[in-house]
Amino acid sequence: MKKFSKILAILLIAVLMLNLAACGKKNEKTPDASNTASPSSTPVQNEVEQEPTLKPHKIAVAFASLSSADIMQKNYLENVVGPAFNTEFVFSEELSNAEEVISFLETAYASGCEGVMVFPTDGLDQVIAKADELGLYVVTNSADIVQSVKNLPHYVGNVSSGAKITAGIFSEVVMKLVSDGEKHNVIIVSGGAGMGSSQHYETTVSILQVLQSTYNLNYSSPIEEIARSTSPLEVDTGSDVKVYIYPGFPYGDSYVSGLSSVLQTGEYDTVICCFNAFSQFSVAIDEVEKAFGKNIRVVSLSSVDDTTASAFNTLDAFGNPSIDAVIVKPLCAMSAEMFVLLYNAIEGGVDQIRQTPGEATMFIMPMWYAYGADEYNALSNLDNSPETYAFKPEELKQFLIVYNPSVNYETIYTAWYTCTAQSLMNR
Amino acid sequence: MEKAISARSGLFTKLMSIKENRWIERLLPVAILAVLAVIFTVATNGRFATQKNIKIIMDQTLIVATVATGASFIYASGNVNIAMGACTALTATVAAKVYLATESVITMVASALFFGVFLMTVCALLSTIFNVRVMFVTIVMMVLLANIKAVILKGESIAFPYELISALQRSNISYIIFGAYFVFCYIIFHHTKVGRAIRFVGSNEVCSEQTGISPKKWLMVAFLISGIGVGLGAFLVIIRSGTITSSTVGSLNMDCMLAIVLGGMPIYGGSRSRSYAALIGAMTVSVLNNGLLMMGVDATVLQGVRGLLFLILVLAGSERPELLPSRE
Amino acid sequence: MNDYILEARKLSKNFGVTVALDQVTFGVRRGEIRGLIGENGSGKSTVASIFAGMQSPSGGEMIYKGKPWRPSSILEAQENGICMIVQETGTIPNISVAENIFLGHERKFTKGPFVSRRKMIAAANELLRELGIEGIDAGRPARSYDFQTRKLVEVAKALYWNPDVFIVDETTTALSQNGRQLIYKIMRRLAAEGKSVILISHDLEELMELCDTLTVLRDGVIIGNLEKHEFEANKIKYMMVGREIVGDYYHNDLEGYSDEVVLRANCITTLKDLLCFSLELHKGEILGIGGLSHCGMHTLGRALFGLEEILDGEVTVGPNAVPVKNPVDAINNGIGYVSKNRDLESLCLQSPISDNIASTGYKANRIAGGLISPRKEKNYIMRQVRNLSIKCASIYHRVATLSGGNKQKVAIGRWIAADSNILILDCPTRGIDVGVKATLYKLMYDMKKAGKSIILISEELPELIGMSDRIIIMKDGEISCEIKRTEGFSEHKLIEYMI
Repeated sequence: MKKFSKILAILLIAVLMLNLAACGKKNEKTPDASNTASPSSTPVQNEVEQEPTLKPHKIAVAFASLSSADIMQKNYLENVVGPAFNTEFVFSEELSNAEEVISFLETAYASGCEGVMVFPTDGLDQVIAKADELGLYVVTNSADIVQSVKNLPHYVGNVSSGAKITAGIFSEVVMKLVSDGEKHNVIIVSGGAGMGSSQHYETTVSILQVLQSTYNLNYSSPIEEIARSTSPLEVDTGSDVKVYIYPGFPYGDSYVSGLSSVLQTGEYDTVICCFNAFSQFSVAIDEVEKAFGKNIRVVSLSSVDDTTASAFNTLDAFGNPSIDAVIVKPLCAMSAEMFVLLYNAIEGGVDQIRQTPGEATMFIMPMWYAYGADEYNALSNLDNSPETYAFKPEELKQFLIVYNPSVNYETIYTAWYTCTAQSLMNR
Repeated sequence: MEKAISARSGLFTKLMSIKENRWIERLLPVAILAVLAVIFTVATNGRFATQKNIKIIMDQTLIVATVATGASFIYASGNVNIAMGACTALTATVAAKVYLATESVITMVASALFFGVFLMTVCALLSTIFNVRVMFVTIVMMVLLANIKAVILKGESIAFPYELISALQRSNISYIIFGAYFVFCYIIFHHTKVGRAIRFVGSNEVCSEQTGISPKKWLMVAFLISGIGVGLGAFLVIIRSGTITSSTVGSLNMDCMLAIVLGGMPIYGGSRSRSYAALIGAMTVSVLNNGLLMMGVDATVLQGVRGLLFLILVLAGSERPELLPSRE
Repeated sequence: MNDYILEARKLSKNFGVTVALDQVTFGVRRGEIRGLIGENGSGKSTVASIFAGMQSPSGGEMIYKGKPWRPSSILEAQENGICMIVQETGTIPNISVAENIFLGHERKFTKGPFVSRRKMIAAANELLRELGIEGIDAGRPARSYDFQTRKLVEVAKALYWNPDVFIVDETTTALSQNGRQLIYKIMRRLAAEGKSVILISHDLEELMELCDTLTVLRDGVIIGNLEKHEFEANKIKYMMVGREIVGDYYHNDLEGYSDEVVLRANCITTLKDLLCFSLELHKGEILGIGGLSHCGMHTLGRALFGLEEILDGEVTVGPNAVPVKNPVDAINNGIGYVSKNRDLESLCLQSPISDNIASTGYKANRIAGGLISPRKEKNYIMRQVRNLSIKCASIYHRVATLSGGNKQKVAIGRWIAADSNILILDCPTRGIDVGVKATLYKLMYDMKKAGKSIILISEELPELIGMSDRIIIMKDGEISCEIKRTEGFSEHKLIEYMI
């Protein structure tokens, strides 16, 4: 066992030396903000007099799922960010509840981690409290700051796509879909809108609002009430346009069959999923398309992975793709921001990067969307390889206090807030 | 060659006689745990043995140790209960609902205890009335209870107020509860007729019946005591994470079995059963996890190591009688 | 030139530090029935199992039909004409009798890739018929037959190979009179055909009756070989044990017993075997129950202890006629029971000796608050270990490590420790060597003198005759005869009542 320790120590020294050698390279100049997708719109002092000596750090990453998109994110952190900043990452398995996350935090502490990125959103108050107790800086992926623990010293903040911003993106996409001059009957798969998920709720509300304005609908109940429905609901729209709210999550067989029976009425031709659910219904939708000889359009929250690519690029019997538009989380870019926050906190600058010192701060990384196969194919090539990452190591340096002591909340917030797919494609 | 055979058989005989020695048999798991702790402390330059780290190990151990200590009564009777995790999960869910309705911690605990005992009693009754082996009954119960829990939760999670959970955590009530239950089980198991009778049933049901020790009666008692452990374990689950989801304590059953076996309890039950095996085993698992991680071993490799260890220990410890088995 | 078909020359076998056989040399002649006798642990089963390929020797050699003999397996020995049947169960319960008989040799009945069960069953039934074994359907699973019948299946299995050497290891003691007679007939027939038989048994009378020569072993060494004309019971016993066992080790007491009835069966009817059966047991009495194997005596023993469902009538105990409906009632009223299947039913083999003995003393060893006193419990256990001279390295060692005789002492000791006033002993000396038998008989006698009562169920007439104050012979679930000791027991007469 002592031998193992020694080998580990030697390896760490070797890594440190390599990083020190790497730091000796000359810095590249940051590109001009107007022509390229340089994320920051505010000029930032990004030239460092000399490469600082980077201390070795260890950061844990708690995953909620291990899809191909998550693996891509893992690779980015482990193989790109980590070596560049002398940081080792410790990754979890799929964690589905707070208890598992807490156990992971404890093992992270045991393996010497100083910070943790938390993607599962269950029981975050306890998770954050445990991280704080263990002395681990924590950044979560939740849409809302956890109020009960917002003043804990190790709770840096959240990086999220923002419930209202995501809802706004959905509005834009749905608007495109329903503004073709024809009337469409829509099923809204509202997920946890009635169960406390602010993102699902805001999204459902915005979709209902778009439909209302496009078709001049006259809902019999307030939109907020309709959106919060916890059981399937055929909305009284005051017109011949049909809107159906389908809440809940696929925890049992009846979930898919419930939606399938609605589809099989043949009355609906548009399905909008507030969470990554479209693959659950693809078979049911396909059957209905064949049975009724019509195309059902689908918009969904999703991720950049093989399932989505296949849905876009595989055409059905009518020559249409299985999905029409997706809204995706740019995971690598998001985790880059989480890394920046944690790294700065570990290096002693936690209050420097908060909006209000002593209080956890919300950071926004908007979702990206793609309308149609071409846009998706272009999107899927973004942020997934050393050539296309939104935030390459060189670009990250300017946000790290070891390189740029004047970095603050504004610089970080703005950089990521303005990082859109279009801006990246232009770059 | 005769000498070689002789020497080899001599070593084997010596190993067997060591194995027969009851002090060795009792203290070996404890010794292994102590040795592991020492090794890890030295290898991590003392980081392993800090107060914070020991608290982490104990926190990770408590739930499994509580439920598994109760389960050891069932295992001692020669039965295997696959539904420990499902019972605990459903009990925690019901207790959480009770709290939401009453906002009373005491009512929540009482309901957890009642429901835990109730569930285990149902398992026992099904086994004794229909004469079906406990393992098969609990396989069915495991699926049934998981579905009941899913219906109750409907895909949502139940979250407790942060302040309440923090207060409970600060009060160290988990340790008090576990300590009291452990002592209770230890006394019952090793110093009363209850434990002796249950172990005797586990050794040979037919002989125990002919000794006036009714296997059915003592199985019920074993489940009853185990039910208390389930109830208390459910409460500890709530304290640990403050939420109940559909996947809460998903791996508890396997963790209990692993703890019990690692702690030196024979998988077939019987005389060599020990109530403290669960605690030793649960601690050994946590120590292994924690220590290996501290030394830089990958988390995924750990799973493989645990599985291998389980296999080795079951094979090494399992008593394959040379004579006829005592049950068909 | 010798006419030995099988010889052992300086044969040795070690199990670790234990020397099971030490340079054993003897031979078995063609056409001979050779008996092997010795106490438990003398090495007789070991030498037989080495002959039969069940294990290999540590040293020495064997000669079979004039050639060196070193079988690698039982199958090889079978194919070469040496077959053995063992004391324990040698059949597989969940396959048919036919499959058991032809186990490992199914190829004989194949048609293409398929085994013809029909042919196998027909061949098995034919074999059983030829051997005179009746009442077995070769198509039924072995588990549907009792231990004794399954033993006969093993005999058939062995004889199928037409062995030149047929080894019977402690099998006869498990059989009823009928079964034994059948085996004796087979053995004599084989000998007449010029084949050889090695018979291992504890039953001295049986050996003396059947064998042509007797080899006595003790502690892995041959003490002597006796020809038939040299057979003399006391001499053989002395050679076995190394000490004097005077004449009868039964008792000659004619004092009888009290009139007080301690246990009564009032016209009890059970699901099988017993129909309106009644008996009375008196204080200070040893009541012997004998008969053929299926006469119902074993069921009677179970019924008296509350282990059998009684459809009509009842068992009562004591002067207040307390009904006995289950073992708890029986035990609470001072009854103890040792089953014929000692290892399976009366002992927890994998448990320590201490746990086994203490199992009847939970109440007795309690102190305040329901806790059990370790000191009281240990005394409870040690008293029996001392009084019964149970030979063990430690009371915390498993019962499985004990010899047969010591196991039986533990099984009986449990009830003596519980101060049982009534003991029901079913075949208590089965598979026990002569030395321990003597101890058990003395124990029974001492208990009788102390006013305890014993029901002795046995298939060995000499034992019943030697120990009982009164003998009841059962036949087909009913009492066939009842004779008091004072009236004089006659083995021939008792057999007549049995058959």
